[in-house]
Amino acid sequence: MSKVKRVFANFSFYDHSAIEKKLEQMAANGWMIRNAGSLFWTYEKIQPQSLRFAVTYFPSASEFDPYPSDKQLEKEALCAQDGWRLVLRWDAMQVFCTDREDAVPIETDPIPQVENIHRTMKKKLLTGQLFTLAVILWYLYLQISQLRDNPVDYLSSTSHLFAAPVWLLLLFVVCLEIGTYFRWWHKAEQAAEEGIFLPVRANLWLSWGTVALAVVFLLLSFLDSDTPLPLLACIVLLLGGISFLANRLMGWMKKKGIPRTVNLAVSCACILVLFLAGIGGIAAAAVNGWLPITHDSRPTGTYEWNGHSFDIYSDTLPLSVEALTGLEARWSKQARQQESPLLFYGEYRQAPLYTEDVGSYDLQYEIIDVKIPALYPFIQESLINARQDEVHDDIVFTDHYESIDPGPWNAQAAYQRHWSDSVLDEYLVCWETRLVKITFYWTPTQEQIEAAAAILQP
Amino acid sequence: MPRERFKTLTEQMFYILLCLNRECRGAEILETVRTLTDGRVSIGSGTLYDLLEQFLAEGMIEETKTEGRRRSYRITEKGRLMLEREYRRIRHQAEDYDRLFGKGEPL
Repeated sequence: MSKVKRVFANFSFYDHSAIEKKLEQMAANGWMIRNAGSLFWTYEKIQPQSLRFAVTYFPSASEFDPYPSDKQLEKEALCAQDGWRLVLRWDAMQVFCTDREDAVPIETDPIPQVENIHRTMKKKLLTGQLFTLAVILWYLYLQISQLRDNPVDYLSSTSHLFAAPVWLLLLFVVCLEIGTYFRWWHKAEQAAEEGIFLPVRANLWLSWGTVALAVVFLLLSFLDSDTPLPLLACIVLLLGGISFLANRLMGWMKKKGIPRTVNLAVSCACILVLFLAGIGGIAAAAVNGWLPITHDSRPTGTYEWNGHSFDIYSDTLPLSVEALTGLEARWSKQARQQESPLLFYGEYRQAPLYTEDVGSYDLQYEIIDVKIPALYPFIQESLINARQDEVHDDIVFTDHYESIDPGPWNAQAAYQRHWSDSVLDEYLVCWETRLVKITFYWTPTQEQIEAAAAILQP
Repeated sequence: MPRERFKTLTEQMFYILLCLNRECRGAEILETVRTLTDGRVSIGSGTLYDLLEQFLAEGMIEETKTEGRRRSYRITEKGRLMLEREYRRIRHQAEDYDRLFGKGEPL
C-alpha cells in the first residue's frame, strides 16, 4: 500500500477553515500533510490521529524565499511555545498542528486576522490574478481586432471560434475569483468589528466547472485546428518543458540559498530565454520544412526559370482558366480551404508557369459560403468596405467597389473594383448564400463571365 | 464601515497594551493576560505577533531588547494615550450602565 497520497486541493488559498478541516479529516484517516501545491497536496501515511490544525499567513513570505525570514521564524517560535507544531510552509501560508485539546487557537482576534489575510491576498491577487486578467484582456482585444480586420478568415476558422470561448471562460473564472475574494473581504471586515470571523464561501466547483469547459473548447480548437498536430505538439511540449525547467531551477536556487529577488529575476529570465529559444527553434524548423505550420497544400514539383526555382502546385480548383478560355498550358494551381459551423472559405489561385508563353492568364478567387443567414449582411459589408478610398493631402486615391448589373452573373448583386483611374477586372458577386471575390488578370468576355458564374454559383 | 485603525481597541489589543506597561517578551504577554484575566481572555500566538507588529508600525509600542529571535517590548507614550482613551471609554460605558440599572453586581 502506498505511503504517499496526492489529493486534489479544492479550496481557496485564503479559506483557512476549509484547509484546517480537510487536514484534520486526513489526519484522522491516517494521512499527514507533507507538501502543498496549486492543484494537488501530498500526504504521507501516519497512524490515525485526532489532531487540530491551524493555518496562518505571513504576507511578506514568498515561494522564492530560500529560507524563512527572522520575523517569520519568530512568529513560528511563538506559536511553538503555545503548543503548535509547524508542519508545512508554502508560499505565504504556514500550517501548524497540535494534539492538545486545550491549546489556544493561533488566531483569536478576527480584526488582525482579516487584515493579515488581506495583505497576503493583495500580493497574490495583484501579482497573479491581475496579471492573468491583463493577459486575457489583451488576447481578447487581439481576437476582436482580428475579427474586425478579417471577419471571413476569423469566422471560417474553427480554432479561432473555439479559442474565443476559452478566453472568455477564463476571464469569467478570474473575475469570479477576484470578485468573490473582494466581496468576502468587504463583509469580513465588517463582521470582524463584531468579533466574528466570516467564513469563506467560495464557489470553487463553479470555477473548476468553468475551467473544465474551457479545456473542452481548447481541445476542440486543437482537434479541428488549421494548425497541424506536430506543431501543436511542439508548442505544448515547449510550454510544458519551460514550466518544468523553471520550476526545477527555482527549487534548486532555493536549496542553494539564492536570495528571493535573484531567484525571481533568474527564473523570469530563464522562462523568457527558453520561450524565445523554443519559438526560434520552431520557426527555424518550419522555415527549413522540417515542421509543417499550416495545412496548406504542398508543392508537387519545381521548375527553373531565369536561374530561379519555382514551386508547382496541382490542387483541384472548382473553376479553372482552361474551363473559361480553352487555353492549353502548364499551370500551377493552389487551393486553401477552411470551414467552421458559420462559414466556408476557399481561396484559389491559378497561374501559368513562367516558362509558358500564353500571356497573363492568372486567376484568383475566393469563395465564401455563409451558413448562418444572419451573418450574410455583415460579411457582405465587410468585403465591400475592405476597399475604401483614401484622401492624402486633398488628393483622393480611388479604391472601392461599385455596383454593377448582376444579370450576367445571375446573382442578387455584383460589384466591380475601381482603383486609381481604372476599372479592374475584379468582381464581388453575391448569391443568396455565397459570396465570391474573383480577379481575372485579363478582361473576360461576357461568355466567360457567364461560364464562371455557372460554375461558381451555389 | 470598518473603523479607523486603533480608534477603539478590541479586548485583546487592550490587554496586550496593558501588559506592556512593563517590558515583556511575546510569550510573557500570553501568560500574563491569561493570569490577569483568570483565563477569561486568551490571546492566540499568531494574533499576538500580528498585533505587536501593527502596534510597532503605529509607534504604540517600542522594541527594547532582542535576544536571538526573542524581542521585548514596552508601551510608548502614544500607546499609553490610546490605552487611557480606551479605559475612559469603557468607564463611561460602565457609568452609563450604572445610571440606568443601578450599581451592577460585583464581578
